[in-house]
Amino acid sequence: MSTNFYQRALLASDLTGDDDGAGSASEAQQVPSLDALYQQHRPALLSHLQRMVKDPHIAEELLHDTFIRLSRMPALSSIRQPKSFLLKVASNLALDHLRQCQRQPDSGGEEELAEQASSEPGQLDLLLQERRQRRLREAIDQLPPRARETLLLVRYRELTLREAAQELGISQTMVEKHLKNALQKCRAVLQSDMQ
Amino acid sequence: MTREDLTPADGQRDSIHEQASQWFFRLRERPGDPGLLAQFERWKGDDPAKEACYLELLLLWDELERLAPDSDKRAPPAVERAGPPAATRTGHRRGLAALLSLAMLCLLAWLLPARYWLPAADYATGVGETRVVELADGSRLHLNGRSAVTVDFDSAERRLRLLYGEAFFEVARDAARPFRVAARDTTTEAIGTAFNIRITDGRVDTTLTEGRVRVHLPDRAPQPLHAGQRLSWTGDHSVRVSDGPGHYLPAWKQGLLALDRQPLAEVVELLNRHYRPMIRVVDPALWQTPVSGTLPLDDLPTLLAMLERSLAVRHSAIGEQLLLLHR
Repeated sequence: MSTNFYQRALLASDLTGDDDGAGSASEAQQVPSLDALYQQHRPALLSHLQRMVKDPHIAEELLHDTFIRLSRMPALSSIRQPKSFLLKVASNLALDHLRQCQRQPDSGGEEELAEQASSEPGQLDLLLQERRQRRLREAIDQLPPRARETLLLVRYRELTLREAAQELGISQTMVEKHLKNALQKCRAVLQSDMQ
Repeated sequence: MTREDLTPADGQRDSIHEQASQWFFRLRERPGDPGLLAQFERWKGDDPAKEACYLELLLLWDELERLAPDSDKRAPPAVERAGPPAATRTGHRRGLAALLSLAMLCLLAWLLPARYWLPAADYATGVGETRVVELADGSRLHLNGRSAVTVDFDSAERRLRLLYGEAFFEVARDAARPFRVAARDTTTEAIGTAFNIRITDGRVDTTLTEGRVRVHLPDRAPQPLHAGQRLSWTGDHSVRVSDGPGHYLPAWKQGLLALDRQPLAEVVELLNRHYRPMIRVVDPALWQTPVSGTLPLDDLPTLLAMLERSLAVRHSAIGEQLLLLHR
């Protein structure tokens, strides 16, 4: 039954792709490529996720979430070697999930995490991810106010640069400059942390 | 640091990073532009370093979402959020953490068959399944897709609980034993009547078809309803009573979903009780888009065509189990 639905849905999407204008046809092209990524990398991603979370249902859900994230990333179809990147995006989501599981029985926080670090293999990744997040947060806190505001607006409210420019009352070029500046600072902080 | 201290390789790398971020923002602004994509590919060429810089940027952008301060985020519904949480460790965000664990529970509820996690539902349906049950007193219980009810009758009362989802109750008259349906923290009490209760992420809606009911809410006087009226009880403890059609039959009984300016995120939650693949709205700008009209609950292609036509919402199938909605 559900396969039948799915095939009809595919058919419908083909139809709509056909009678659309030129601008949207390109978007329709973007979609099969994400589906192609899914078809090609699903087994590897799924087994990776299952190893991390040890539950096939949750792994499947995290795989969905991975592709929801990927669907928001531009130009993935142009990437020649996407596999390790896909694994990284999926791993981050799995780590988020593992962190939530730990938090459930209202645990004491980092000390406890550190204690467990030796016992479970995933723990080290968790700690590393948290360290990265802490560094990133610090980096954002230290940004010049205007750059910080711009980043928050564009990132967390998912505004386009044009929308952000309107809201902030500055030019689009200025918005882009703030963002590039902010991202370079974040990157620099992460890099110095690695060394 | 003087210019000479900088090795050429470092300088080059930095400029690649800068170029990569420029491309990222340009592509983000116009994701469907084939000309832009072609230019991007020309820039990237065969250079693995450029590709790596671009991907590093995508990853950084993705990771930034995890740091979202609560106030800067649009709050999407829990089911939608179940996957990508953005929690932080600090103490004052415990509330958010609790909320996210709740979201996690919702996720589990979605993933596991009802029998694994429910406090013994007497009657339950899966996605796309509806069911009519004749109860011991002659009342009829109509279960919508992905819904569950417990039934507990004794000589003093007929007590039911809607655990999740939606159900329509046709109550057999029995003046000696009130018929009471609990849903979250509300209780609807009926004598001889027919009514519908629907639980969604942020609300409990009780709609009365005939007869009369009283709805008991925490810390409030019982609220009587007339036929056709709908009471909405939201998580922030506000009540809204609205008048519907004089003789209300829940649209889901006819395989339809009737909507009156409901946000798309909520609509998708209702649709997911009926459809596989699971539908997700990936574009945050669409979450609050109001939807009005009638959508089919058993015809996916028509549904998608309607969404596309009336809301300019596009869809992409990812594998066989996931359907993404975006602009």
